[in-house]
Amino acid sequence: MKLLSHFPAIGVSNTYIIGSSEGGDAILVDPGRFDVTLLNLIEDNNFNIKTVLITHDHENHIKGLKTLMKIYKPSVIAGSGEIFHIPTKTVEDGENIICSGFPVEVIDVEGHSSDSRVYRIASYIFSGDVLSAGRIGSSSTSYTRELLLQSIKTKIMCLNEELLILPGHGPPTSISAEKKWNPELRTSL
Amino acid sequence: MQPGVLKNILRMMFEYKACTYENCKKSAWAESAFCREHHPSAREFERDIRKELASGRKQIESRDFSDLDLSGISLDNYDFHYCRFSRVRLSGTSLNSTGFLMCLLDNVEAEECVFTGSRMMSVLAAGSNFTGCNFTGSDLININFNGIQAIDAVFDESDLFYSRFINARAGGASFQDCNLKRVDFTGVNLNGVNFTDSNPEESYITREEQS
Repeated sequence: MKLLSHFPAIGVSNTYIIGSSEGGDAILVDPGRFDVTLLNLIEDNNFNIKTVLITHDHENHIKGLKTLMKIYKPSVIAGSGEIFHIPTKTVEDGENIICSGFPVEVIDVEGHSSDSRVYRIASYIFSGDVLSAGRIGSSSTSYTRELLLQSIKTKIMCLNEELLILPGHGPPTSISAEKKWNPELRTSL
Repeated sequence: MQPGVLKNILRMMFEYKACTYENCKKSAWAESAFCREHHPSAREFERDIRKELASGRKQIESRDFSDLDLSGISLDNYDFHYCRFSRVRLSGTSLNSTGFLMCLLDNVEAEECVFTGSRMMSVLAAGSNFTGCNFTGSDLININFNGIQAIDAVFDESDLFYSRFINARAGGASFQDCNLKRVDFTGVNLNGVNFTDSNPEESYITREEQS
């Protein structure tokens, strides 16, 4: 299995690709920006993007979707019903689906945006904006902030500490590292 | 389960593997089936990996070196892509101009190591001990340095764009002539840290940490 990450200089939102080492059907998480570097990353590894997982529909996570759809025509999985008028397959908390040959677990983490979804694929957690290295996502009210903290605590931090968290922004982290070094979680755990 | 699913799971990189020794709950060591304690021939296993690393193959992808002692060997000019070095010991290891793309260097013991001219991008290095390390002239882009020990570490002439040092210990560290745009120093006591010719105003520093 191959995991590839793309860190564009503009927008600085992470995009991830998961596929077989031999190429073929693959998953792309959050097409924040579709640039030549990302295209080359896909083509050089002989991937066909068959599934797009959207963590939430904020522009810096979806801006490249329309271009991507013109090239690969993947199915789009998200927490909201359509993105840029592109129909999606909506998924809910606890759903287990198979995407491009990989089992994907859907975790609904409320508090950052109403359509936030976290995806777990084996040892990886694609957390979007809800959790990144040393930070949690932004919230519009104290109520949604508490909701976010509780969701992270009960749905993510209880998982195996060795799982790797691949956030929408910033470097990779792990559940163990967040328990030790995330100042916002340390006060609430 | 659809055909191919199990195959994909088994080949997952960075996969958590538990030691297969009865009732042991520790994680497996490097690419073996056992933790270090229960490995039937631990010394030979570690020696073979050190020998393989020292053989000179410079580009290494998707390997797990967790919990190994890689002290004293030279990894100059190596390029590691998607490799795991969790809890590795690097005492006296030479890492000049070494590349780490999307690697796990968490909880590494790397005191007094030389990382000059290294090229790191999207690396998890949280909780590691980099006390006295020299990173001069490095590209350290989008790195998770949260909780590290970086006492007297030297990062001079380095690009640290988008890296995070949340709750790190950096007393006496030097960041001269560095790009610190969007670097996060939240919770770091910056007394005695040298920022000459750098742009700390473009990083995240709270008032208490500056005082």
